[in-house]
Amino acid sequence: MNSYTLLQTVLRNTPEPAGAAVQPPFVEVDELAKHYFLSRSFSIKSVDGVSFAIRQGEVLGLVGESGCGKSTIARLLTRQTSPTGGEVKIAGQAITDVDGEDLKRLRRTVQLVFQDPFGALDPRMRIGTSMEAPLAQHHIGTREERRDKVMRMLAEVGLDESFYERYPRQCSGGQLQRVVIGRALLLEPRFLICDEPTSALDASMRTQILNLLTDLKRRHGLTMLMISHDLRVVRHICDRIAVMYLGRIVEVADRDALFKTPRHPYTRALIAASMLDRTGLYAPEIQLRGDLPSPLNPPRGCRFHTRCAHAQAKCAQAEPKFEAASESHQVRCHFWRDLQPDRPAQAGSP
Amino acid sequence: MNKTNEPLLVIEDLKVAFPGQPTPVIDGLSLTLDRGEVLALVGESGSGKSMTALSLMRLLPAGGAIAGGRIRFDGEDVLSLPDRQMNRLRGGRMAMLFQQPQAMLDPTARVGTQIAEPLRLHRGLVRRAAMGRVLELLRDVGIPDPAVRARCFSHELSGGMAQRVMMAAALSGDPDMLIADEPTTALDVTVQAQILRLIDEERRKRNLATLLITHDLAVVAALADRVAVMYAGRIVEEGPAKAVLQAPQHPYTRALMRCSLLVPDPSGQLLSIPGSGTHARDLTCGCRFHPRCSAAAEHGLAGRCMRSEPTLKPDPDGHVTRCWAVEAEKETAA
Amino acid sequence: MRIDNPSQGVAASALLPMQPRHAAALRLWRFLSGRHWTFRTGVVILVALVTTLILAPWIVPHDPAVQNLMARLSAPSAEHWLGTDHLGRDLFSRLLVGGRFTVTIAMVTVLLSFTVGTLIGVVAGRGAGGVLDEITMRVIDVLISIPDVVVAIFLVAIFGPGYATLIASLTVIGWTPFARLARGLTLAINAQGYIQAAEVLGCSRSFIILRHVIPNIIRPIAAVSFLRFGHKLITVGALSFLGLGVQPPAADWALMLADAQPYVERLPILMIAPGLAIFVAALSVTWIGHGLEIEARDGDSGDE
Repeated sequence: MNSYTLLQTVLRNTPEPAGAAVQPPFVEVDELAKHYFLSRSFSIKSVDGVSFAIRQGEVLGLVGESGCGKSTIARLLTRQTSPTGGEVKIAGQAITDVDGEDLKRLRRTVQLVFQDPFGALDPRMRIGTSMEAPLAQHHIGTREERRDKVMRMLAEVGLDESFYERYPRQCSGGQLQRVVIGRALLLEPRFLICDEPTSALDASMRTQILNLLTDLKRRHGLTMLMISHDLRVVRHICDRIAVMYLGRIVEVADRDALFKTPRHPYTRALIAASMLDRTGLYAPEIQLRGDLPSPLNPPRGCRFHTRCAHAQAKCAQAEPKFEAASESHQVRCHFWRDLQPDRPAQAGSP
Repeated sequence: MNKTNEPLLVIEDLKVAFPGQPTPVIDGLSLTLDRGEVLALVGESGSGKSMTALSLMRLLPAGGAIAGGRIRFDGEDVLSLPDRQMNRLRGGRMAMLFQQPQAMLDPTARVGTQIAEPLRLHRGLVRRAAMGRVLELLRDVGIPDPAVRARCFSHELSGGMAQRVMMAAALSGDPDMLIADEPTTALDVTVQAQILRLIDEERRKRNLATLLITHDLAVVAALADRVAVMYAGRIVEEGPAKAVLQAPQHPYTRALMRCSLLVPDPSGQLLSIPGSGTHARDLTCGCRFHPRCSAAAEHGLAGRCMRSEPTLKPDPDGHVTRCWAVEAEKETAA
Repeated sequence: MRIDNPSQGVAASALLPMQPRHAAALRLWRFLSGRHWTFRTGVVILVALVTTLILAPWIVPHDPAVQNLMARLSAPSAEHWLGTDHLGRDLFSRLLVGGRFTVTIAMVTVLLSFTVGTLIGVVAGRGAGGVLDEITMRVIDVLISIPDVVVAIFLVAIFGPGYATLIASLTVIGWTPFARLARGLTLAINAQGYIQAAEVLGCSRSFIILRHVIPNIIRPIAAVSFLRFGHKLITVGALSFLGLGVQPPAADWALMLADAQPYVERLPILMIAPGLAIFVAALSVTWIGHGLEIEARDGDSGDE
């Protein structure tokens, strides 16, 4: 049974809200892989057999360290690059080999919010022009209608009309991120991917942007994928969270379940690390040894065993299967049953 | 050696200004920092916290000038030191960690050579001795296989590894003071903890005075002994880390706390500070935080906050705050 | 629902209405005053030079082609300000007229090379790694190894001398440095977030090239084109010197240099005057380019 079919089973078993009975997931990702070939035999397995599904209106968090492949997934789902294996279906349509007009239509369905708002806007273009251009490219509305739409969107993301005439260098990072979000939403996408939308921002800007995303999601009925290296960021906004390590998903669970009973040692380390305090600094959970191993040559067996505090001989030999710990909670670890959920969610839980 | 009981670093009434800006980026900043102590300087981008670090090193970007105040480091007046001596101070007794460690390393030279260079220049070590010292330093900062890593180029290092290398370079001059400017902001959370731990261990081992510049209060909680919160070029609150973090007084510090913790209120909203601090410096009168402040209205002090700027008022326990509302509260309590 | 208003506390200065239009002279002054001194000097010299060259046929004191064998090689005087050449023609008049050809050819060539080269370079750079890019780069490799004088000799041999032949032969080679530079800059721009954003937003290829890539790389390329101008001026001179450019008896700076060669000891000004003219023309444009380059390097400091 591969992980996708397992996932399907789990999804089918998960109680759905009434009225949404047999609706297939809005986004289905099946055994997605992206290998960058350096030579015939050497490849970086950036994404290596990843499967997940996002239901209509759901927000999935994707968490992991840099280099784990989470940004590659964003690039694959937005067709900035093509996968070397697997399939992605969005709203029932396979997107892996669409092109031409179909691809352009897909662009309207799937949109992306970038990590670095300063880079995501052309420094030589007024903000109004930057926001209007995609509308014109998709032949939406007349010139006046487009201007109108942009003005309304500026208001919706909490900016006043003066921003229309401004250049990016006249704005703060938080304001620019609002512009980037507004620009994405102007195309009225149904699926919004946010790739580290707040990691370039200050703490105070971060909460503003997260609040804005929550609001917009509710108002536009968006399905979302939130990518971050920081569990704190995804905690507030996500319904479910997937944890990724070296090109693989190692744990998926509903948000509260993940924080209350994290099953995978890596998830525990991430939780501990994101809830830093003085005692936390020396807590054993975050004693991850060293850095992420090179995806060029991932460890045999369980990919995490080289940094895992609980690793045993078996971990170095066989890669664990993706097992269901509960109806909506899956984990890829040989010994998840033996690990006591001894570190429940920290202070500051909702 | 300094014979009085003066702290290692004393900043008095520092002013830094850029031409064409109505008010200074740093306006009357006073701080002290002693050996073995970690002082966290907290604030949003644009608050002037990085400029403070750069003024200490006398490395302000073009156009910026120190318009007033004094900086004394171990009894010496940093601002009047000749350039030659300043250079020696920078590479030696004052060391710095940066937000983007990879950008600070020369991509064309091997890491080991780069750390060895100042050792050979300033300490007159021959190549072999310098290399030996480099390997020692790399081992100290927890780099596995130092001999292999020393031969790497900066792009072959991960962010965490590069920050460790920067730490080794910083320690090579046997510093008394370490300035860490957002040392973990660009790193993954798991690696953040490692780097913070490294800084903590080294300062204990070497009795380093550490100035930690960050916008993340979680980092402060993990490392700092004292905290100074900056807003728009001014310190608005300062005190022992425990006191400031557990009982923040200034409305800005309180709001920053809530933002950092990412805790939603009952309605599911994350608490946030409206607006941005970037332009607060253009205010000409009143408390610089008042346009974004909720306390101003709550205490019926809006007029006062708008008209005149409060001063730093101390608590008995050495916790100082610059806020009319806090002052008023204390008066009522007394 | 609550949307914070981040525009609070924004300085009024950021919201000033756009400046009203000023008189042309005032605007020119503003345009110049903020620039690097090399740029300003260059512009002043070039404007003076071009005006003189345009007006030359009407302001020359003597007909530059009329020979007066009685007054050969006469020294500067009130009648002939810079003296006369070996055929008794007025040197000053010939100097005024003699730049028209060279400067025009150099300008047109640079402009063409700049346009063609930039377009080819950007298109190649956008498809980096593809077939088109590969072909372009190999073609450039070949062209760059051929000296432009050789191409000129070849084309003149086929089509005969003339404006079109010269411009064509200089452009055939001339676009390559622009294309290489444009391609390199485009590669750097490709990685920028706003280009990726434009792709994800579904913007077309031509839109990305015309509205995002070119505006962001045009400054350094323009700077180079000014630097190349001086080089072109000298090449055109060399071609005339070889007899491939202007045909006698028309006046031309490079030709004047060639003619002056046997008489340089008797009357050095015959060589100094045209030499200086070429030098000043080349320098003025090079300085403009230098000023632009400094600005391109220092980031945007002016005209938006």
